[in-house]
Amino acid sequence: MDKTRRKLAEARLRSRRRFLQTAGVTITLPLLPSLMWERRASAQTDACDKPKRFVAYMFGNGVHKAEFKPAGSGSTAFNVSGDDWQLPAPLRTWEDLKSDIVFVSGLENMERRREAGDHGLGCGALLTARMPTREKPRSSMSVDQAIADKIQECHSGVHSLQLGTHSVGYHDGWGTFYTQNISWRGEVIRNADGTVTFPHGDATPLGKENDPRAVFDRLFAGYDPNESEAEAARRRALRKSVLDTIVPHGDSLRNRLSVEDRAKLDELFTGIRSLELEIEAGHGANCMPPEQPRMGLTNNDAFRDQLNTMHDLMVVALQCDITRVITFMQTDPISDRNFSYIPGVNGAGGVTSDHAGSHHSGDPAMIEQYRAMVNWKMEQIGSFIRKMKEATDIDGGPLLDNSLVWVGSEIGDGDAHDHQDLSVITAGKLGGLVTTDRHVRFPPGGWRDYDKVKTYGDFYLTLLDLFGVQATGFGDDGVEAITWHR
Amino acid sequence: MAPLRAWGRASLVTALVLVGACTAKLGETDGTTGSGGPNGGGSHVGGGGVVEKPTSFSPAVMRRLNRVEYNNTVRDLLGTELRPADAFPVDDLGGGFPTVGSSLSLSPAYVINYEASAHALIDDLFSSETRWAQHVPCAIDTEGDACATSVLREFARKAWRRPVTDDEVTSLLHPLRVAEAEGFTPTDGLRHALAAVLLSPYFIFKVEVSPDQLDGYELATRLSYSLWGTMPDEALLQAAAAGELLEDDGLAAQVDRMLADDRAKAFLDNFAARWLDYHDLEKHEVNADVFAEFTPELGEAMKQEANRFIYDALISDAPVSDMLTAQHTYVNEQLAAHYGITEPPPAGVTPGEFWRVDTSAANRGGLLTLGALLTHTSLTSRTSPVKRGDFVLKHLLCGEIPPPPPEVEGIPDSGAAANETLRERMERHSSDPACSGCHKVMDPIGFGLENFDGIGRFRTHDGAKEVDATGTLPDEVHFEGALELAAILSTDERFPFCLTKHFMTYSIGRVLKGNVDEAWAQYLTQQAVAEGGSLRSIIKNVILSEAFRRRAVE
Repeated sequence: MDKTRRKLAEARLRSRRRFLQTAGVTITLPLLPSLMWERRASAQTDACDKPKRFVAYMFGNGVHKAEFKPAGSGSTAFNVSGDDWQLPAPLRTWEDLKSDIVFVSGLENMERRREAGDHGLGCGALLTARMPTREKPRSSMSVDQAIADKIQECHSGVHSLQLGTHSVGYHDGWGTFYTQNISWRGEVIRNADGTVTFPHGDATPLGKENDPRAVFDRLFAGYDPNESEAEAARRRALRKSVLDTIVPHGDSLRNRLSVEDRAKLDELFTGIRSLELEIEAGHGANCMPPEQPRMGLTNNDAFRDQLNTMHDLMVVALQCDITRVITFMQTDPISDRNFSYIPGVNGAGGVTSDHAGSHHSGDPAMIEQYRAMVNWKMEQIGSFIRKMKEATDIDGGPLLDNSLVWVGSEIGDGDAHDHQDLSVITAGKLGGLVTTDRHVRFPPGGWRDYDKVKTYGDFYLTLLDLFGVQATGFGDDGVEAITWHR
Repeated sequence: MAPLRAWGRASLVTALVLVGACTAKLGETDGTTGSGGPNGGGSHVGGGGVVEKPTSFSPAVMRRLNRVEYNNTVRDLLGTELRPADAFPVDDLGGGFPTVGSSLSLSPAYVINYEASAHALIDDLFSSETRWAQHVPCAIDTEGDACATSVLREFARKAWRRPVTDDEVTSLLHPLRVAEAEGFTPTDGLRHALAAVLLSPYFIFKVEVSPDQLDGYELATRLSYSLWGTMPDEALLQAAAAGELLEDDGLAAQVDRMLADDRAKAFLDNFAARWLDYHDLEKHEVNADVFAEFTPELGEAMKQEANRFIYDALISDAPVSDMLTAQHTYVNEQLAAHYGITEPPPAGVTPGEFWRVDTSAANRGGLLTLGALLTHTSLTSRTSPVKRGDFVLKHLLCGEIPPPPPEVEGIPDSGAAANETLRERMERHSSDPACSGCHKVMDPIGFGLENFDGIGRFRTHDGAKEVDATGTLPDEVHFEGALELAAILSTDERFPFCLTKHFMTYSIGRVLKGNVDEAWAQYLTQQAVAEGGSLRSIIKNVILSEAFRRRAVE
């Protein structure tokens, strides 16, 4: 008897964790678009005009900048399209995606505020445009969270997902909260004129999920296609009673705490409220769960399999409309994963790993090796964007067309550790708001000419506007929206 | 009591501070230390004389249970084998430890996990009639609220680590009312009420609300998580109820009892593995073409070795410096083969089991030659004298080396002479003025450990050439090999001082800063050293101090 009941409980903890542990194949997603949207129509109406999705895809340890620029990138601004620009060499595997992307170059993020610890600094500022603080997590709302808040005004479901592949505490003197996370929640001020302000202060880094099986659970656990709506409502009421029970505990405790302690308590109750919304939304009901992915972590290049699986799960989460905002860290900054299996990683300088390989010191053999690493990373990112392009959205078109995928790294040049003349890539047309197949260059300006330099903060002001958020500023230096989207 | 010897290696401090481009800080603490590393060095180091007891310190931020503590707590509370927190997002570190309140954030993803975990744990409890009956000894479906009230009062007392009020018990009945209204059974209601106990802030956080001196229960919680990484047991809660923990004798007796208990082994994973940074060793990646022998299992064995080695120090009265000069370690068959230890295991050792070996014949010593330390301070395909030097300075002496500028790990191959050793290549590399400042400090220490390869094996050759394991400390003290380095470090007063600081950060739960914390660390080290300088005396002095027992003193 005990044994059977225990089995049931374990099954619940790992509820839909139906991944096979055997080595080998990565997942395929046999999605049925017709089924996908059937339940949704009856469940709730969507107040958004048209679904818009945002993905921020971060990769670690920068690029070999000398090669990571389309030809003709000089000191003047331009905005060219079609045959007037060509992909830089590291994107050689992206020819079929050229018509879906915008290559933006010449931006700056924190170069003028540089301190020792470039990876942590750049990663902390990646989506916030905020300079990190040494002692404790201080920042402001990251751009993905501002977008997710806006989307939640008209879309019920999972607010946002924060995903990655590992969290092993790499740091360079800044807190691990700046190197293991890129999404942040901070204070929001809603102004009378409809604009919003994101003040600098104590903020919450949103820890990421690295295990594809746990992500699968999060997306599909508890989904029972045979359960009636009435039955589901009863179950939800009892589940919510647990959350209601602890509310008075928070109220009684709050009065006895210091300001800083109270902020920690509030983090718990912010999560409780967000969980309540998820329970009400009953997500997972929008499409048939895909077949359980298989993944093996036994091969030398298990990392590639893990990436593939995460890419598939991100696509399915967006396609099933379970969430509309995802941030993904391909690796943490300073990651020193072994890359000896990548063709071209030749052991130059006595190293075969990611971060160590990025410091080539100008040595030709080491540059060759770093080139191979960056090319490999770009190949993986390209394969994700391709999956977004191949997935069908509700309107019958590619999922990518209604999405915007932002791609960038925490530093510019991997060897020089800089934060100026940065390149970001966006993929997707965001429902027609973004005109693709272009290279937009902002004049990099140089170290002493910051008045003319355009920043990530400026870039994000435009990005927010595309999602319907009018911000009064963004980060430390986002002062005016800039045109990169058309 | 004897004053601490005059922090005699002051010249080393001066040397470090003066080194060219490298602004290594061994002599100052300004609170700007990154949360990943240990705290800065002591501003009073080098001053000499007796340190007076400080009179103030600042408060810590309320801490939630970290992943290890959560798993341990539900194991002890519910007798479960589930480890729900393994699926939680990773804890961020403060001062190198996942026990620092200001660094332990709680994002919505945690709350989703907390809820799923609470339900799974109660389902798991329900799945065992025996364990369910321990917590629910009455018949809920017939006795109703009378049963629920007594069950919840007792369960919440254990889970919240303190007696609960009537109002709190009443609040917990809410799911039973909802169950009733929705047509579920009272058992369903009770299961949800029990889940609510595990989702409450009183469970999730180590709540401290006493304005100054911690009350007995708050102290019991601090103590229990510091030494056992889990909730207080009944004996500790009883001592709290009786007011014994507020007295020095009572508190000291509990520390002795707890360190002697098997549960103190949790201290190794929670504290030691973080202090020495080998916590994630099984995730260490290698280039299999170079280090085919390194597997997650070997990494796990190295962690076990380190834990067992340090456990000896925890239960001994010998000074902590003996860890450096020890001539023994612990191996299992896999590790013995890896280290080239040919002596057969003693009779009765079962496969996989560890045994103690004398290391003098294997060219190994104590702490510095633990496989775990030598491996995690290496790259995927070779050693890293930089990382090893940095490790010795930061983790053992609490010096602060600034993070590397660009161009650190890559060593240009151009101009390489045939058969050059890593050391020879690096010496050319550190002639680059941009890097030379720090490298002149760190590399020569790491060079002294070059007799150990990137996965901790003793070697006499790097490639075809013989290893040169001569090294130099920043104050121009020369040595050859790990054993000589260990002997020098064992006389350095900063070693026990640094250990005290790490334990304070870990157990009090806040990044140390400012002169006040420095003064506390110095004062407590001085007390511990006067009592023999054992790890236990350091722990006990910290726990018995006001810095541990009071929340804040202005």
